[in-house]
Amino acid sequence: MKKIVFLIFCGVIIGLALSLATAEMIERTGGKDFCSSCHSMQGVSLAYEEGVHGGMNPIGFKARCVDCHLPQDSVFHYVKAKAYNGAKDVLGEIFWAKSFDWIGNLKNKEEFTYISGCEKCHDLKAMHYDIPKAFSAHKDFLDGTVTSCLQCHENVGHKNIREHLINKN
Amino acid sequence: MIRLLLAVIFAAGLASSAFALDSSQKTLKVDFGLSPEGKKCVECHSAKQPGIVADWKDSQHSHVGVSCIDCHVVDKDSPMASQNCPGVKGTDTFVTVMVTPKTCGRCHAEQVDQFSKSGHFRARLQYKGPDGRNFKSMSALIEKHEGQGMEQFKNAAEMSGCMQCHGSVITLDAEKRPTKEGWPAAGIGTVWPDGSVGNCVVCHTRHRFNIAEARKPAACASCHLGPDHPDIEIYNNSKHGQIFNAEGSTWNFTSAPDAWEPGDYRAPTCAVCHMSGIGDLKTTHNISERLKWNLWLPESQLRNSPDPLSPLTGDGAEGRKKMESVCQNCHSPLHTKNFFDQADTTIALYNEGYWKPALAMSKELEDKKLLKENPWDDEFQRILYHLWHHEGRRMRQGAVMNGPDYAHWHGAFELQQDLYKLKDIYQQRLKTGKIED
Repeated sequence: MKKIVFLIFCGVIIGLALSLATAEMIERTGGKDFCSSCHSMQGVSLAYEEGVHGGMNPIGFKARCVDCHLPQDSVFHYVKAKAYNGAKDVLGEIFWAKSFDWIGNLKNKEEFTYISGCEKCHDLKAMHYDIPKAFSAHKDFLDGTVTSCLQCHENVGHKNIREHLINKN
Repeated sequence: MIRLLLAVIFAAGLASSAFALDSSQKTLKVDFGLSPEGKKCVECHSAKQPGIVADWKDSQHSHVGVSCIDCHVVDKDSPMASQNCPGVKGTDTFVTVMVTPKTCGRCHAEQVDQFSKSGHFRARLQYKGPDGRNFKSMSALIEKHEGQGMEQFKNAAEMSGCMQCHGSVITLDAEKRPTKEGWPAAGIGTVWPDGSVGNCVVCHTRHRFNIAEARKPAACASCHLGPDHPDIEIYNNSKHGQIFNAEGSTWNFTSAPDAWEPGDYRAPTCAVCHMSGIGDLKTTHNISERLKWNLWLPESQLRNSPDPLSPLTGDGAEGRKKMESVCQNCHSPLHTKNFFDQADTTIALYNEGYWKPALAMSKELEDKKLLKENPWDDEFQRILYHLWHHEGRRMRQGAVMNGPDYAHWHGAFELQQDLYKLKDIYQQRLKTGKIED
């Protein structure tokens, strides 16, 4: 009996340690410093630093890469997408990054940018008639006519991205 | 003493207003909902192009705080990004004179989406796009025949004519300014450097973008007129046009979309039938949505394609149902049914009685090498062209839009004359085995 209790206790400790280690790893590999350590991410990283989301705002707030490029609707989706992207990006960096059409890939941006990320910080429902310009511009999103923020905010998060991609990739 | 003081103050008052009037800089100060950059544009351009700013300040855009910069600003990496305006030179702001449907779609997404599924979308791509159906014949007509084959004039007829309605493929100079080969042009199917297609300001002219303007027949009439599709003439010939011309100036053209209904007007304008929300129908910017036939092709066919680049874009059966539901806001089902039966009979007569026999003769002459290579210098081909492109369209479009003079005198009557002339030439060529001089 004592042995079983001891084993369960050990299991919980090991489990906790593993969970913490995983959480720590997930946390440390979500920002610009880690992501831009791959050569192919230099261009997007420079474009990010120039943009509002990269700190060029009055408060100096910075969104992290994963805030936009991983789904934020559930922890499961988040971890699943992170694992998939992690594997894909490592292989990509080794085998395909040099020959990849980075500018051409911009048109697929909705596949790797998640609206749930935008919505985590931007609450469109708080946008009222008292800011008529903003309300008018976003009503088509609120009623579902426009399904992605990226339809209008084309290169949001990465200012002058084409220029940086040409220079760096 | 007090009198003297009053006189001095009075004189100073007079003089100061004179100074104010003398000021060469008349700027408009606007503080309502605009960013500092936005204000700068308005203030400077109110002195430089007061007409533009006067339009804008009377628009819905100014009411909601949308100003110059909101539509004219582009990302630095946009193909149209420039700093030709001294107000932004050297700053972080890049602007362009070209405001494309992509820009309008940032706030008017549904309208741009509907437009992109309509026949208007193909206006430029169809008549002279390298992969368009008429590219060879249209290039020859514009450059060789209308431009008289002179290199320096090869685009002249197109620049002042075709592209002003159909639109142009806009090309840019080294400073990212649009070149004269495509700009200015108020063409509905303009193809922009950012890849988008269309031109919202054709009907909602800049910079007032007035919904009332787009609802009046004049908005359509600047292109839909003339010998080949006299739609405004047909409208004026119709009872709808009669009522509009008699009392349209007293109607309400400013109701909200979907809420503009009979009562605001006593007869429909072009927009009422083809676009506006009326009864159960929703407002649409797809002007092909309520149509049954294609009425400009040599042979009229039912619309049956979801592709805006197809001449048969739309769904003919659905389109007719929708148009009938428009009519029934003011007319009984019997009136509506009989009217369209009359129109459909006329369209069938054109197809069967005129186009098919004319085409059969043309094909036989072609097989026997009895058509000239230059269609514009061959009496048979000239008449054939007028038969479908001018008279045939007038007959069909006159019939569906209740323009009896166009359906008959400018249509059917001229068509039977055309066909007799074609038969004469055809028989003569078959008899002699050669093309007459």
